[in-house]
Amino acid sequence: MNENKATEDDPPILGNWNKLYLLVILLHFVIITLFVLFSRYYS
Amino acid sequence: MHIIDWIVLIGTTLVIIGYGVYKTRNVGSVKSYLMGDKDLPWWTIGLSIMATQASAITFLSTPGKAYEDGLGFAQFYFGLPVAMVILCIFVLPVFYKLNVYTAYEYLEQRFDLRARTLTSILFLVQRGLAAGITIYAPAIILSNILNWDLNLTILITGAVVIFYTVMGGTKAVSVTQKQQMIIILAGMFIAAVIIVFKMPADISFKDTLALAGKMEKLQVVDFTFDLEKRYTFWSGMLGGVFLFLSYFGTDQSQVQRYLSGKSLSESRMGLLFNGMIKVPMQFLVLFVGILVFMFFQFQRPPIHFNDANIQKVQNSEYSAELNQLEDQFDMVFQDKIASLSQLSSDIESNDQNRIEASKTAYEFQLAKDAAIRSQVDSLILKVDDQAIVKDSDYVFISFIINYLPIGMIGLLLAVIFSAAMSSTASELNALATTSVIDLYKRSINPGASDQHYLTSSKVLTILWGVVALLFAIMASLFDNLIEAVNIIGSIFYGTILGIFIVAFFYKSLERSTKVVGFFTLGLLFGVVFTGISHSNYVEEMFPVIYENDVPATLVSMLLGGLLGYWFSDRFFKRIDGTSVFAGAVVAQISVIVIYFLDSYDVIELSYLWLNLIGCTLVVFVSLLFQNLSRGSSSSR
Repeated sequence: MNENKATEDDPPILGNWNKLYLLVILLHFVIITLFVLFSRYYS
Repeated sequence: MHIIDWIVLIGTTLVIIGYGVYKTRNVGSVKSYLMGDKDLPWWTIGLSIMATQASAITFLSTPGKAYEDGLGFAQFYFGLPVAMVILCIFVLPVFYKLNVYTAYEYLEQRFDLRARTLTSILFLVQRGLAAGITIYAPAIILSNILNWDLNLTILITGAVVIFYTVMGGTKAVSVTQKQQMIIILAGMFIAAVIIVFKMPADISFKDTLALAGKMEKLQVVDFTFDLEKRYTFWSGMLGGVFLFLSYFGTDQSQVQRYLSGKSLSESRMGLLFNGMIKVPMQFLVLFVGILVFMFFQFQRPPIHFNDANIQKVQNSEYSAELNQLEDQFDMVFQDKIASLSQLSSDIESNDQNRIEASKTAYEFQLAKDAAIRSQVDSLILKVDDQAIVKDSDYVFISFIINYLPIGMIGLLLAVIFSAAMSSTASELNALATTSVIDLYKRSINPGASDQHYLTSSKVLTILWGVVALLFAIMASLFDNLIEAVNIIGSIFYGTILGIFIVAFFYKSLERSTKVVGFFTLGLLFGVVFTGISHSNYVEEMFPVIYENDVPATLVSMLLGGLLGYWFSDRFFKRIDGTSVFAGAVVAQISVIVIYFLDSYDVIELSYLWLNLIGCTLVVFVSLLFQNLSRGSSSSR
């Protein structure tokens, strides 16, 4: 079990994890917004 | 089925399994068997997480759900990306720091053995039941449609999964899941493209969407705040976050996937990858269902999608009535096409009055169509009163078998079998791991050799496989297969999540007992009272409450909050193993009682809210039971 790395590595993009988390959440709300626009356009 | 389809199906399955067994041929220790070699990159973890969650039911039942109800089911997954981020911040670092095999080991380190054992058992019960459905659900559909023997289909699927899971352990599960997920995504995408090309020549993709929109099939997001509605933005974002936090953070079948990552970063990336891809993927699967729906607006669909039910009626005294209904169905279908063509040309002309008129005409034909189908359901029930007449789970497989070209049928069946095997393999692997690490090694037979635990892990994988197979053979269908798995999950996940929330945040909870008391009991009163106020009993006996449900719910929340504040001021002090154990037992019993109250219409509550109820009850009761814990030893 000792080969687990508990150290805080940087993510491969954006420099730090908080920015990556924010990207995931923003992307999610963009997707939901697109769903809303899609629903309205075809209603 | 054509020989080429058989070659594609068997070839795809054998290549994936052969690859998995080859890659894991050197697994020789219990650590390697249960944790892999901790060398998996984030994309393998991400695909493995997705494949674990996406069972065959996802690909059979979800398109059928879209066929019936449109795209609204996508909202069920809205809480998932938020849950992924929360897990990356709070949970993953702790699991990595403590070097645990299972999520439940952490609970003993935080509280005591009882909390670990109880949570492990809750997991084993709910996952053991779900594993049976994961095998059974696709088997019954495939056996009905392809005329395969049901038990043989269950046994073959189960035997193949047990074989490679026993051979290679958790790494075999992960590496096969990567290939399986690629086949699944490619297969669904190709299916969507083929359906578009199979539409009538004069109906473009744009026309297809316009028509589907007019039929109200393309409504993805519903902002209505109604606890009775299963899928709304709010139930997805609130109830869904709790469900997915619980599923991904505390369900060993998922925890095991990301604990086999090369590093904490790789595991985080795997979870975030899942958070970004899952919602669009589910949208794709639902969208395929919409395309199948549109396809069957121009191509005569079967009068009932489960051919086995139709065969029963054909072989009974009601066959003449069925033939009459088939003739009526043909006529209605011709009228339906005519009104649909009219609607399409009216949409092109953009004349709102004419669009409304032709839409009304089309809906009239749809109502006639539904009435005929309902009569067919009645005939089926006359022949066999135990028959399941809901046929939405058969829509997609029926389309695959009857309308896809040779080769593609084999590929899509490989998709379904891949999905069945990938999620079942994770489940068996997790069930065996939890049984060995949290129960057998910890409480029953500690101190044995590594080889003994490796053998025990393999034996327990087989045993859980056999249990799942037995349950699959004896199981009966729910209304909708994917919902059956989610309902079972919701009954147990809330409690499990509550235990973990108390474990992770007990210091904050103890510091803010009055706030916790106010919000947990306020929330509980609000959710439960809303469920009660929407029931038929309240409508009959207390119409004032039924008609004024929103203010009544707000009052109940306030009262609950004040009661929680009062309790917390007097009784709450500290959390330890005894109080968590008591909280979990009370919460689990309460959730089961609420579920049955809902089943018997005493209250009306979507099952997603059971997660929130179970979770908040554990938190509240854990704080409340501090008196019980006086004098007991805390291993904190």
